[in-house]
Amino acid sequence: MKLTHADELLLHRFLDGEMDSAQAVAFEARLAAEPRLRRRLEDETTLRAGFAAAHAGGPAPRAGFTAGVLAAARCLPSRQQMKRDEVVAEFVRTCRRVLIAAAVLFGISLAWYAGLMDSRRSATLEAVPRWEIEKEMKRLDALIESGALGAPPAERRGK
Amino acid sequence: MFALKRNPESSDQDLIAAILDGSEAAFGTLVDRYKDRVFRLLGRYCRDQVECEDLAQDVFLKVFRKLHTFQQESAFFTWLYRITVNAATDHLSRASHRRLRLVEDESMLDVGSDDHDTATPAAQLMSTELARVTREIVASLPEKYRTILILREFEDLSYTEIASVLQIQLGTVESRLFRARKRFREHLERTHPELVPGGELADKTGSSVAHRRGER
Repeated sequence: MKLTHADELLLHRFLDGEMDSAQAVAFEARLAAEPRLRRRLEDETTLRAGFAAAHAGGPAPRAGFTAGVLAAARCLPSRQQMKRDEVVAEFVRTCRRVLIAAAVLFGISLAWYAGLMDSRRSATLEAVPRWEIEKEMKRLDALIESGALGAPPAERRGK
Repeated sequence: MFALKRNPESSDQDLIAAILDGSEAAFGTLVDRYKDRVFRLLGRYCRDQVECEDLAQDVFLKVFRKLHTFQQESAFFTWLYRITVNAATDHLSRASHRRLRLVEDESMLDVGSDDHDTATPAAQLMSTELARVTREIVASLPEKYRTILILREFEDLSYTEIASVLQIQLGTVESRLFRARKRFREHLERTHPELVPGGELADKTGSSVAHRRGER
């Protein structure tokens, strides 16, 4: 049976030494009372043994490494110069961002102006409020009734 | 300036102040103090000696250049670790076609284990195999999981220190570490089921973990 997520986190905290003494004591009491928790702790300890085994080894600095770093540091510009360079670089970065933003806005405006940004939705009745549609329908009815648009199609066909 | 060189016990803050005042000797002392840790951390990402040296030099030069931006709110070494981790992960992403090669020089990896003097040849062999597999799996994990496992398991950093290095919340450290370990275990079960806990390796290598816990 698997442990709950909360118990798993507690187990890792315990193994990582991230519990205060009171929490550790309480957890140890649980370990003594719960074989399932104890077994999981043993499993996790074994799993971590791989890290312990892989702990050693790796490249090490050769003699003269520090001297090499100091020599390279000597070739750097002075700290004042570096600060000035940094200010200039920050200014250039800001300008670049502003230019990119302006270019994007200009592109969007151009696309809008050219009519490329019209959505299909705005051209349908869905985009128009209902009251506006009703108002428009009434206006058209009034126009038809007044005869300003000529005879209705049915009447024309009748003739 | 000379006093700083003669006194390697100067605090990091004193050294930083001296470096910002233009002391080259203080910078040398700082490099001497941290070069082993930087190499060890870089060695978790890159096993090539020359690449490690180049990266380590870049790290210290960046420290030198950016030292005035260090806020001194956290420990210096966490700031240094942040720069080192960033340098290592940038290097790996630049050279992604040359994936992390873990065992380029076996002789470098097979040193330093205290258990080797007393363990039986079979236990030594298993320990070496376990170490190899562990490195292999860690290298195959996504970068964020690999980094957090390296910082916790190899560098022995606390959750708070990891949070400071990676600039993430403490809760995120815990949950990311949990997921990283889960991924690690799943990978181990998939590729090396014989090494999954429950086998005989438990008895032979578990003691070293217990030993490490006792040291902390």
